[in-house]
Amino acid sequence: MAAFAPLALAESQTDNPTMLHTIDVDLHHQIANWQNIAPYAPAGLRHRLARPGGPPLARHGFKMVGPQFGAAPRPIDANGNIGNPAADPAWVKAEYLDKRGVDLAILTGPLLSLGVQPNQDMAAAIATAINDWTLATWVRPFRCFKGSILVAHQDPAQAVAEIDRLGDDPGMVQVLIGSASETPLGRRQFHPIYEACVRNHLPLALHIGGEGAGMSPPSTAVGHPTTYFEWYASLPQVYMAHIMSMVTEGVFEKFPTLKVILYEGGIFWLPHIMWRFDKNWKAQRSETPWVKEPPSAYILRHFYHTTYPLEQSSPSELSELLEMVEGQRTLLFASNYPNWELGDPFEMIEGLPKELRRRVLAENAHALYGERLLHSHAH
Amino acid sequence: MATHVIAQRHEIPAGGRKIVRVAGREVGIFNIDGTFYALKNVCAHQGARVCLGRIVGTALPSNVYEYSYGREGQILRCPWHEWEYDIATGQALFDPNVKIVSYPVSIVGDDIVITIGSP
Repeated sequence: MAAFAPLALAESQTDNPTMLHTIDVDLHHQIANWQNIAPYAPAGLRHRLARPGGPPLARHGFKMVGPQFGAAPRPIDANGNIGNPAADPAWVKAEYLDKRGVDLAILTGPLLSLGVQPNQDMAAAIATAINDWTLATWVRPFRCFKGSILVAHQDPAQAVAEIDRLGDDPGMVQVLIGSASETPLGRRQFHPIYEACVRNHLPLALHIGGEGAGMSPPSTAVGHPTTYFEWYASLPQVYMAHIMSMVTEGVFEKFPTLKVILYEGGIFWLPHIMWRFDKNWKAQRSETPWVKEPPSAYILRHFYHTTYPLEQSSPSELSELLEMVEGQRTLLFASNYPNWELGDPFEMIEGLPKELRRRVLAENAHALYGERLLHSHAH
Repeated sequence: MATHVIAQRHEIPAGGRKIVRVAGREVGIFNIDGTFYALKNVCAHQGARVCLGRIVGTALPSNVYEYSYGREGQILRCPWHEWEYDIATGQALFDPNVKIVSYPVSIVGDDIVITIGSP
């Protein structure tokens, strides 16, 4: 592992922090044993989670070649066995957050295909169990972790109920759904979910990962990719489709305060769709007369982006592209811990100008999530 | 500043248009319910002969998933890329700062008179 000095002084354990210096919006805590999760599930379906190997989950067939965790630290026991680097919150705090100077990490969990699971009641039960387990074992005991309200959006009614159940918990800072979806996310059946986000003052996080699994359509518009390599590289297509759907279906006209974070999508493709979208809107706007502004205006106002994996480019090209997507305001530091197969997340932002790096590491997250980041959430 | 008689009223019935060449340019004259408007025959986008476009209505700004069609006969759609213009002002519906050049129109007897150039 490359020895990187912390980019900022950790102050996570001070009693009354008013400003954090390094916020990681994407830490994938993992499930070592479903038997630990099952007690948090609704009674009627608890036994399905408690089975060896966990509940039935439809998966896609893509798995990376080589080590998933890359340069991420990992625990090694006395016998030399390598353990899971994201299963124990105390270990993650000591070996990742403290060593890298991360003050606060937002947990994004292990399950990004819940929204395309055929059994929507099972999916909702799993979401509830993971949320309560996350609060009890990761968030409550540690000031440095905040949670995401994971929901299974194929049944919007249960998703809304889950958001409302946990929406005012100070340990939760956003709603999380997998971007893998039966249909584009702008469609009207999903609007109650966005209404619930706004009602609870929570941004919405979309995260790639479940594309191609379960009820998901193929992960590309022309069909299933063959390899993990092809699958992962093509995933920003999914965000392109969701963005266009949410803008044209008027989501941001109905919910003008909704903010959406696109995880792990990069940014270089955004100027392309903004230009093309605006261009076509000039002639086609009468088809969706509620889209009253150029589509790029909604995109810039409502969408946020993450640094893992930030495209690497010459400093001048990078700063030009960042300017086009207003990165000084919309870009958030995300480590994707422990999945560092594409490299060290701190190296990815080393090339950013100092002022921009400061914003990306903390200020943009403060502006987006507001006071929830600082609220005490212990019992 | 110069005035030009470019057509006679009876030549352009309500809902109609006429395109004339005057002072080195083409001008479209439109009759909307008895009021005449004159637009330069050059689209603000790529210079197409915009006055040849369809005269239509449009979907009015509305709430999400509501549809309200109106302004029939008041909107000109460029034949090249379908940009919509308000015939009365020359302004594009997507951005009022995007405009077709328009000319003041006055009626003298049966003459339709336009003024070209700043007063």
